[in-house]
Amino acid sequence: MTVVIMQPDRPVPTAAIDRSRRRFWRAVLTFYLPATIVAAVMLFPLFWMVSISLRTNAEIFSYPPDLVSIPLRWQNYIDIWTDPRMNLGIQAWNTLVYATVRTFLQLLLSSMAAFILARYSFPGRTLVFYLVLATVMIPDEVMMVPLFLMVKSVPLAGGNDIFGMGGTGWLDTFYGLILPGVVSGYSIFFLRQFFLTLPKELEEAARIDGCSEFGIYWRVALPMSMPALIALGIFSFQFAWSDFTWPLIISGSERTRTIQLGLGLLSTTDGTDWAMLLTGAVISTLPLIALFMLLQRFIVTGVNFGVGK
Amino acid sequence: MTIKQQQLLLGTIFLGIPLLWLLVWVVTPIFVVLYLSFTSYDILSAPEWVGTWNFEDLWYDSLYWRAFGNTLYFTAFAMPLGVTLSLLLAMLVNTRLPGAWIYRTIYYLPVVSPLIATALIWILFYEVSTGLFNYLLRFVGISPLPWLSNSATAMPAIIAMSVWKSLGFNMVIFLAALQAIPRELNEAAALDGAGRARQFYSITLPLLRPAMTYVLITTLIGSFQVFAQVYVMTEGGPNNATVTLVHLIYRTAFQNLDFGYASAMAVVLFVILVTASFINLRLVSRGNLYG
Repeated sequence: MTVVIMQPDRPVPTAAIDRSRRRFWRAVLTFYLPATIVAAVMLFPLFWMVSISLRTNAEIFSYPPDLVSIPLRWQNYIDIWTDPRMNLGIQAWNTLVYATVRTFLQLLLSSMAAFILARYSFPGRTLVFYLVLATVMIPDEVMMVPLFLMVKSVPLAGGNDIFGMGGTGWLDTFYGLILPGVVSGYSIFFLRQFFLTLPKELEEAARIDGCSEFGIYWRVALPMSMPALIALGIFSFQFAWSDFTWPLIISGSERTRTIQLGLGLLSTTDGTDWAMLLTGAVISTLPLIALFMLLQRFIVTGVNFGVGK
Repeated sequence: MTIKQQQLLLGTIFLGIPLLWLLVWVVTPIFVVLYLSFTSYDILSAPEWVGTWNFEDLWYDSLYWRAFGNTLYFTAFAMPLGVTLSLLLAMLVNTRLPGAWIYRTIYYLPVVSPLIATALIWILFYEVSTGLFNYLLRFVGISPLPWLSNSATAMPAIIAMSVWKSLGFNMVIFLAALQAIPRELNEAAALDGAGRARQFYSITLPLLRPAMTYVLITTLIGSFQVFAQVYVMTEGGPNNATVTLVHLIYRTAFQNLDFGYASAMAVVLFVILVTASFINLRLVSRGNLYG
């Protein structure tokens, strides 16, 4: 049996209620209401992408447009994997290889250089650092012409002779897709800034305990820089996953074609199957959104250190 | 091995490999493109030295100037629009109210989504007969517009899409800068009788300067390199109304196989962008953004 204890009515100051009520409405009017409207606008294209992907082609171009077309056509998400025009299985695999290998190599190579630049002192260190920093200014899209020609004339690859003539070099290979963009001045700069903040004492303590110099990099510096590595990793992964321009230039066939390139090329041909395209668009967007949701607190670390790409 | 020897070995390998990489894949292309810009080269036969011919041709090439104009047009609208809106967004979500992080996350989602995937949905928005934009316009009594195939509306259509796509990124940078402003400053100003507008102009805006410079110049650099959305949404058309500089470089090199001429265009763009970046580095490194 429960006993309900009635409390004697205590007079609540009406002024306090008024104040908290006013504060509530103020918050709604100055923040929640406008923020929700803006959120609806920002989200709408993404919502529409999902909504379109659950329709037949006839429903996509029906008039007037429905917000959601019932019944939802989940079949698209099964059909797409066997659609010969999309080749989604291979393209998804290619995208995954491009994004993960690029990210891994970028983290490895950039952290190596960043570690030395941040922790060792040697003559010319400042000069080397400024030279690395200067490469940040080199715009990538502008360099597509020389980079294409260089990838094409990698010596002794793809039927090339020792002078890089006669064959296709690294064109349409994962080497060509991944390797040229792996190290950037930016990634070295970013990790160096983070390595600089690690306390020197840790390094010395490890050294006294008999840790090798490589061990200090591998077992002290890297684990302590996880937030920075993850932030840079997310940016690198997202960049490669969404990349269109570089695959467009390098990959000539299905062998190395990524999802974004596949979608882009299909959309510009006549007789586009929009239901399939948008289904592919949703499938290619979901992993990025999931990754972002999982790791978003690290993005703030990245921004605070000035990730700008 | 002594510690000194280890350090020497590690330093050489760790610094050597990445630096060599940068040298080959980031620095060398500059010299390649510079050399090629003085040649005529179609890949099939060896490059032929033509002196400054390519650059003289550029000067009289109306399509090139068209692309230059289009790029400026894109920048002139996308930049102020994007910067203003993202600053407004940052100020909106710069609050400690519960749930604010949800809104920040939502505003950032377009940035996370792949450019091509989102461009596809905007193509459907702009569709003439069944697209959403024309559907909504009909309510205000405007007859349907062929957004992407009309030379007057194609560029604004691409600008709208691009601004939506990148708002969240600049918002996060502004937000970080806003959160670094001590509250006491605004409180003290309020005590001294400064209104909200006055606080914004006299405190917030000046303190945002490093972030603002950074955002302005990175947006400028990004706008000058706009390419993928043009390729997918209009292919430069209609009537070259949306051909941008990078799109023209792509077309000249990979469709017309005129690598020398494309290189000359790239060299000009390179000079412009490096100048902008240089100004950026100088201005921003004086501020606090790079810590």
